[in-house]
Amino acid sequence: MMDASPLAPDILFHLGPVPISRAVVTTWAIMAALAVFLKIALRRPTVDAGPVQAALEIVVTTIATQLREILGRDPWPFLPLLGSLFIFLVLANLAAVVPGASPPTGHIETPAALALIVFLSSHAYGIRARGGAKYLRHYLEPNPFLLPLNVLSELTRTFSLMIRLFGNMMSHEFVIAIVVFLAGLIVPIPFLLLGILIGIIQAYIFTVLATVYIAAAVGAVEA
Amino acid sequence: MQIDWWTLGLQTINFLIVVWLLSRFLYQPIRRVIEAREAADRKAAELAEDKTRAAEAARAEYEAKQAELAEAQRQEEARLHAEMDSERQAMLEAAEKEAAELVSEARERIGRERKQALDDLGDQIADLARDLARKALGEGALEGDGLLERVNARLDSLGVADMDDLRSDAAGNGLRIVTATSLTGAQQGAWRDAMAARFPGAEIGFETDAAILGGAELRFPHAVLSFSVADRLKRAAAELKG
Repeated sequence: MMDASPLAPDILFHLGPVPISRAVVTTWAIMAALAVFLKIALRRPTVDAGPVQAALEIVVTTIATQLREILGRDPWPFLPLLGSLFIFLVLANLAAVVPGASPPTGHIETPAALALIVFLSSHAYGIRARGGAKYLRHYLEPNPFLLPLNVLSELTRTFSLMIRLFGNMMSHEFVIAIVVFLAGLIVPIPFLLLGILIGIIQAYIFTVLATVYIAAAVGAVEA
Repeated sequence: MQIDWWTLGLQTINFLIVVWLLSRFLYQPIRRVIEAREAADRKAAELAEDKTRAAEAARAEYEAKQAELAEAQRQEEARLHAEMDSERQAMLEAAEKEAAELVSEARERIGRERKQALDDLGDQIADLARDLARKALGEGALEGDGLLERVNARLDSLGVADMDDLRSDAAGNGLRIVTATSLTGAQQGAWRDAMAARFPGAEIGFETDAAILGGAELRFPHAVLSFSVADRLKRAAAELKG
């Protein structure tokens, strides 16, 4: 096991032919916690909100406000994807603080899955907002000779989106592991606190960049 | 570095489930609540706006009524002023008319009273004149023998001392017998005889003086015995003033 790559997925068990990694299990745990918490917290949402509902409203309206500022239009059609992206990334990145858990974003599959979804969603939103022909025509602007560069930029920015998240979270996880290995259990606590900040910042960056890409696709901003 | 495609696929599906999960249990309920709250806010705002409009309308109505009342009050004041002016004018005219009538009536009354007073005064003057005439003419004769007899009777009625004074007065400076008209020779003789008998030694002279009007006066140097009409009138007037 000492020869195994730390970047390789940590497979916990198999469901038939399907290997189930730690990242997947952590994601399921996050999903289950979210489902239970939201089911309880918003069991009977009322206009006169309680403290938990008010906090959730603040979170949602804050995300919506940020999206509105970037998109320049009604954020609610984009909120399920982009808001979920931010909330999931925050929870996934903060999974590092749970003993025995590792952030799913510290392995390349999860950032890749998210970047893939953002890549596909931006095209879907762009085509829906501008129409197929007009959307594809924007790759020829400002000059048709720039088509290869435009296509390449689409791929590279998606790749950079993936690598940025993965690199930050993976490196942080390595730093924590190295510090624990070298200094014991108490010393890494400041690094864990720093990890919380990094996790929230990376979630914010990933979400903002995804929003910018989608905004460019729907014609709200220039990417 | 290797990629586990199974994990990538599962994570893709997992994230799509997370999207559905959050959309179903977070965004939709929150959006419904927010929309309900916004609807309530809009309703409250509309209600407030309706109330504002109603208040504005009420205020406009109040101002209109106030202006209407002010106009009515102004018109009423103008009407009252006009009415008061006309009443005052009518009262002035009535007062002037009444005053004119009073003045006219007073003048008429004064005229009547003046005429009556003048008539009364004339009557009184006539009565006085009659009295004066009666007094002037009624106390014995003013000429002739009657007059002389009356003078003699008067002189005889005087006391001894008075007579002595008159005699001494007449003896030194004379006695003048004054009449309104000149006496005849016979009359002068009768007068001289009568006076000489009573004032012996006195120089007796005769004079005429129209001012005594009638009768005669015995003018001593220091006394006068008057039997003239003028003297009678004077005494009568003094009595009337009395």
